[in-house]
Order: sequence, then structure tokens, then C-alpha cells
Amino acid sequence: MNLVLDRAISRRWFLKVLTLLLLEGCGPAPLLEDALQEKEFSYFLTTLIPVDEKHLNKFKSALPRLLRKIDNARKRDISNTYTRFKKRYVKNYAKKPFSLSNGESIIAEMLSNKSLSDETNSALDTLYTLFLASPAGDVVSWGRPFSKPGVKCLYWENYDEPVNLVKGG
Amino acid sequence: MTSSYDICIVGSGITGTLTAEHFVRQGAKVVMIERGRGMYLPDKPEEYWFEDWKVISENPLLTKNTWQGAEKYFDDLVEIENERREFAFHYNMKYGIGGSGAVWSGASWRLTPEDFRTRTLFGYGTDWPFGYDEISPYYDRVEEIFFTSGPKNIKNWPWKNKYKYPAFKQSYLDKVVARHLAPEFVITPSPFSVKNTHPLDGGCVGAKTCVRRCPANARFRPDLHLLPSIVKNKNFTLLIGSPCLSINTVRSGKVDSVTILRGDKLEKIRAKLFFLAANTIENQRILLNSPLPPEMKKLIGSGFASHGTMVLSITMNEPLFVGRGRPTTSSAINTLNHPLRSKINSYMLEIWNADFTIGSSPHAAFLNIRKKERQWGKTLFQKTLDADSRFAGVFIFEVEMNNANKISLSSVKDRYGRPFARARVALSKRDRKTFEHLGKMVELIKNKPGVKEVQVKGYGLNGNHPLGGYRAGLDPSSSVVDPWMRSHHLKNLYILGGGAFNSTGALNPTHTIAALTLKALDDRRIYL
Repeated sequence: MNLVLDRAISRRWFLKVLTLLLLEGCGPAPLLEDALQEKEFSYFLTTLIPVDEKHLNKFKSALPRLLRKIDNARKRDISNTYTRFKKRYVKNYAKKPFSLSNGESIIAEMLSNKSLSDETNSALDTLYTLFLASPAGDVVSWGRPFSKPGVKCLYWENYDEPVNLVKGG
Repeated sequence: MTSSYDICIVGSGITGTLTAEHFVRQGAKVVMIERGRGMYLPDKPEEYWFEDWKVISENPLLTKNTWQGAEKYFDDLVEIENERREFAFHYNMKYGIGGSGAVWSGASWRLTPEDFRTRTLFGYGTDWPFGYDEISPYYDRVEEIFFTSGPKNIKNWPWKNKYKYPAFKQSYLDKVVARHLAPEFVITPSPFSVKNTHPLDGGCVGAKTCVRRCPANARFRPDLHLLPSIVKNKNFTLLIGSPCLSINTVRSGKVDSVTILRGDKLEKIRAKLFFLAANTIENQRILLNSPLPPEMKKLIGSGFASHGTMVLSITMNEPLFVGRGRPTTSSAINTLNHPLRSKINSYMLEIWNADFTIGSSPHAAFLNIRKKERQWGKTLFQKTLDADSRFAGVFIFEVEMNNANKISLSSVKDRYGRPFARARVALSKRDRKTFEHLGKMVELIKNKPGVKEVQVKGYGLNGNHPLGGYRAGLDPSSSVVDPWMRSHHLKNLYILGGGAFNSTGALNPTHTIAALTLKALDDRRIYL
């Protein structure tokens, strides 16, 4: 970014830019794989994927393997989004116990920020796709098997009756 | 080069194939001309609704007949220019062997007796030149040929017909919805040209991919269920990859030949009788690109319409166990002849066994709620759970066939140098009143105790149901074909398809189009 220092530039504008640089950073984002063990990354995942601990741990265990299958552009989106989340979290909430609403307010702010929303949405899209691809994805399965398009309906003999939900579903 | 036949049929869809089978059976020398190159047999059926929805949302003015992978099977995707932005017509007919009949949903409704007499009964539109009683025997025959499955002993069923195969039983979702939407909406089983027998006997297996592909071959397709019986007959010639560019007339008020393109050469096909069976809009495009008697040409294109549709995503307060059985098994048709029909058009409500705007499986719903509604976190997961209580309801409503709406020729040309069709469509005052009325029905549904949420996901003119443009009538000064679909002005030309309709009704038109075809083939003036 080129800064043109001119007497016409207001002090307020300069301070705004400086704050943005400090918050967002202008250097390369840290390696995503290294961040997985950070407690802030757990907060990040819990905010986005508010499921029970068992399923969240299943996802975290599968994440290194899944990340190897996506391209660098998508890894970068997740990495940048997490880095911003972490910076905001550390700045605003580091001294408090984690709460979902605090995490949500950070994500909501990033999504409503025009310069950040595209990358944030892209990161969320990828994370959710990875989540579904992991063993943890079964948590969204409506508590029952479901028929896939193009093959014989599982329930063909009794689609007119209610379904018995699987245990825990 | 010129070839000569008894019967020349342009198009290999439902109307063309019914016609070909009829004449081949009688020993006539028949040629069928099809612009498409091959049969539609995809390897991997996928839900196509999302792709069409994407086209609709991105191209409100210019609708391309696109479909992921379609170009592999269907020839020369056609462009329609919508002259009016609002309530755009999203053209969605398919060109290839079997035409749109290779990919129709199988919904097989008759028009109601009242639909044939809207001017007399309700003071709008034009009465058809024949009543329901005259077309009813042809509906019976279609139901036999198409192995239509339908209900019996339904209270207030508008028709007195008997189906060979029983209706698909109502799903659990249908029953829950029926309980909550009563009394304003009475949910009854719908008829489909899908064999309702045991899967081991070639019946439906509920694969939910009916339009893309029926893995059981249980849905009627003209290319799979009629064409094989005639294609090897020595009197039948099928020319594929051969678009019909024009019909050629002679002074005696007859069609002499059609001009087709074979490879890069023009060829003339002569015959005693000609049947335009190329779909409603393509028939008009061929006619408008042809030298016709002026008194005929000026009538082509007027009164074009399609059904209005409004797609709702409805979440109930209890689980519906979606995605089971057929894509849809029931509808509410008690509103077809509602008490206000002198002011508000006919309409019905289709009930779908899942919300197709987000998908019929939990993973599909999760990803679509994420991508389309941009939900995340708690809301995303809650809405995914709710998706098992969520279904799509589609209002289909009648649209007036007024002469302000037209099919004409575009300034844009196809690869053969011929203008594309151009559709000018706009809602009349009456149509708008109907649309407003449906808005009130949406509020009514929202306020039902069993309903959690209703979203209007979109609305438009149905791209699968183009109707009108060569109206059937008794008067040659105001209609293009007579009650037997024969041209008033060209005595050896029959124009089949939905263009002959005088009213759209509020029900899928394919069944009626097939019945009109059988009626045309019964014309006693036909002799060879």
C-alpha cells in the first residue's frame, strides 16, 4: 500500500489507516495447520459450528487431513479469517471466559464489513463443506437415514408413515 | 434434393411421436424430422431445480435454455428475449429426440370442464371451440397410452374418469400439511403418467429425479415407450440433426414441402400431410419464418401465455420427514373453480415432498441454506434441523391469453441465420389481481397454527408451459387452427401443441396437449 504523505492528508485519516494495518496486518497470515492447536481456534470453530463437544472434537481431529485436500486459496481465506477473528478476540475478550455471543459478534462484524465479507463468506463456505465431509457431519442428519436422489427411496414401502428417529437423533 | 412421403412430422416429442405411431400403424410412409442429435440418457441424474433457479435469478431479461450438461444431449439451445422485466418468462423447453417429453415431470392433469368455457361462465377469455365432453374420450386414451396413475372416489373430483393404475399414496408430509392447511386447501392425490406398480414390475421407485432421469423407466417418455415400436418399421424414416427452417406453400392453399438442413445442405421434404409438432414456440418460429398467407401470418403469435407460478418455502411446527417417496404426490385443486373466478383466475397449490429450493437431504439442505441464505453458526444448524419440517408449495395460476402478449421474431439469429423467437409477456389487470390474491393466501398460510414460517422464494411465468399463439377456433379471421388442429388457411397442415389453447387453466398442460393430438388424428378429413 502506498502512503502519500501530503500536508492535505488529515491526521484522522492517517490514524484510521494505521489502525486498519495494525488490526488486519499487512504481512502473510500464519500457517493454518499451526493454528489448529490454539485455544482461539477452538473458540473460532465453536462459534461457527455450535455442536456438542464429541462432534466438534471429531471434526478437529479430521481437519488436518481434510485441509490437505483443499487448494491454497481456500486455505488462505480460512487462515486470514481466523487471524482476524483471533486479533479481535484477543483485543476485546481475552480477559473473559469464552462465550458464544462474543464469538458471534466478531463473525457478524466481519460479515457486515464490506471489505471483509467476501473472504469471510468464502472461508465459512469451505469450513462448512469440510465439516460435512468429516465424520462429524452426521450430526446434521436429521436423526434418521435419508434417501439419496437417483436411487430407490429408502422408505418406498412406508413413505406415508412417520419415521422412527435413530437413538440420539 | 427432394424426398416425398405421405406424412411429414416436424418434431419427435410427445405430439410428434403419437402422430408417427398412429400413421405408421396404418401403413403410411412417414418421415419425422428432429433437429436434435441424440437421445437423452444421462449417467448421473442430479436435482436440476437449483440450476434452473440460478438461471432465473441471474438473467431476468434474457433467458437462455440452459441446463448443466444439456448441450451434450440437446441441440441448439434457444434464446427467448423477454420484452418485459417483471414476471419474466423463463423458457425451458428442450430440443432433442423425445423433446421436452424426455424430461417432463409426468404431471397429468385434465383441464376442468369450466376451463373450456371461461367467457360463458366467468366473462373473461375465449371459449374453446369444443367443450370438455368432446375431448374427454381423448383424455381417456391418453391415460391408457401414458399408463397414468390417479385417484378414485375423491370427493369433489372435477372429472368422472377412471385410471388404470391407482394414485400414489399420499406421503406422511401430505397428511400433516392437509391437516394444517384445511379447510381453505384440500390436499388430494395428483395424477401422474408414472406407472404405479411394484418396482419389480417396472413401477416407480421414488428416486426423486423424475425430470432428469427415471432410473426405473416408469415415467412415460415418448422416445422410450413409443418410438421403439416404430423406428424399425420400413415405412418410417427418422431424420435427426435436421432442423426444419420453413414450410413452403403453394397458391392452392396447401403446404408443398418443408425445408430442412441436413449437414450443410438444404433439402426439401414433400408430403401429402404435414404435422408441426415442434413445441408451442418453435412451431410459431417456423411459421413466422415461412411464406404464409398474410391473413394467417398476422394471427400467429397473438395470445401467447404461460402459467404464473409462485414458489413458497413453508416450515411447519412438526417434523414432516421430507425427501421420501416421489418428488410430489399431492396438490390442492379445490381452488381451481373458486367462487371468485369471475374476478380472479383459477389457481392450485402443488405440495412437494421436500423444499426443492434447498434440497431433499440434510447435507444438501445444510449447504444450500449456507450458500443461498448465507446463514452460519447456530442459525445454520437450527435451520438445517428445521429443513426436515420444511417443504415447497407452488402456486400455479391461470394467466389471461390476451393479444397484447405475442411471440414474434427476434433480431438475434441462430447459427443457421434464422431469427430466434421473441416473447412479449406481461400480466393483465386480472392476472395481477390474482397474484395479489395469492399474496393474501400466503398470509393465510402463515397464520395457520401449525405453520412456523413461510418464505416466498420466487415467482415468474413457467418456462415449461408455453401456451397460445395459434388459437383453435371456428372463425378463420380470429383463429389459426380449427377444432381438429387443422390450419384454416393451409388445408394439409396440422399444428399440434399448446399453441392451440384458448385458456391456460391452472394445471400442467401436457395431458391436454396429448389429448388434442389424438383428437387431430381422429379428423375424418384425413385420408391418404
